[in-house]
Amino acid sequence: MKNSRLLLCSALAAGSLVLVCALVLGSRNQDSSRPSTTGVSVDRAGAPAAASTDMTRMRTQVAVLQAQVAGLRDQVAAGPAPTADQAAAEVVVSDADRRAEGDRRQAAYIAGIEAAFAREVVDPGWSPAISKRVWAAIDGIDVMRGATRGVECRATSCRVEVQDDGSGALSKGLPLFAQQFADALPRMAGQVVRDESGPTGMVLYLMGPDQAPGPTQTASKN
Amino acid sequence: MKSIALLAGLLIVAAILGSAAVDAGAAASQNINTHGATCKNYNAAQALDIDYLSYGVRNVSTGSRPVICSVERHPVTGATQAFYVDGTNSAGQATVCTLTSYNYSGVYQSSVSFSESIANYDHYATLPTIGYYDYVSLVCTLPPSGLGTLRGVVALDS
Repeated sequence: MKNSRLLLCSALAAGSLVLVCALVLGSRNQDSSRPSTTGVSVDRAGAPAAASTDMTRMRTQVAVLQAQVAGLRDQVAAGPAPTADQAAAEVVVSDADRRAEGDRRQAAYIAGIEAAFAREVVDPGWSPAISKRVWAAIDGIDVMRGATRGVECRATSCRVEVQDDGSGALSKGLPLFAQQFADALPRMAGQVVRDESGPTGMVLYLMGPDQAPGPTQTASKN
Repeated sequence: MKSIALLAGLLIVAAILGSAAVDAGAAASQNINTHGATCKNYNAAQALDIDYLSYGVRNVSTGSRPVICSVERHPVTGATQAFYVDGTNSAGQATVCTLTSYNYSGVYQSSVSFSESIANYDHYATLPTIGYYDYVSLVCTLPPSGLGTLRGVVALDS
């Protein structure tokens, strides 16, 4: 709202400037289109008088335009402009809404993954092998080895429970842990586990490749 | 003459306002390219292993090394966001990367990983979930001895 008012005021100011310039340039063009008085036989008594009349008329027009622009500016200023506090409140509400929406979306996404994982039936041809691989990756990363509390792989995805001591070590290890499964389980999402004292760990879901359409159907660099 | 000047003035004002609107729209729909040379060593002790080029970043140690890149992005409103990661590998080498999103309060959201072993890759990857205000990073483990270069990453608007 504040921005649109600023834009309108700027436009009015720019418009008035442009109009004044255009009128001045137009009058100069009018003058220059006339024959020069130098070395040309003209009515020397009449020419200065005509120029003076034009100048007076032009000044009047500029004054009228300035008054009109000032009137428009006053109209804008007199509108129901919000106070600075109101404008700030609008922004805060918008930010809060966006953040809340993001939190809701993430919670819904994780809930969907949890539900899908719960519906999966253990595939004996896949689960033991991938579980072994996940544990091997965990053993290869110090922070993961100490933090992991359980691994469960079913048919297409794995659920990994990890403790988080809040030192940042777990976050440091997560990208390198995820890279170990770039081929088979490239997607990972997580949810923070909390108790009365605050965050205590995370539940990570390792998932197969996205089945969404490829880049040729969805997006372009250009 | 006066009316022509007046008309010209109005047209110019309209053009200014119109171009402002077009610019605003264009800014809202532009991808963001981040150069590979802005990436840094992921582990503090490996700073001297990472070498920077006018066309990217590479690892000059004899072992693989991870680098981390800040991925600049518009705060897009979609539930997911796609990226292109560009780079090169010498024959027989591979680069493994992970894009990760964290929300505004530092809570892990999601990540997507991939491995590329082709000479010139232009890899398209989509984060499973991302929030409007999330921050995104890219961690790539680069092959040794300068045998792979990470050129950069492009965040696509969605």
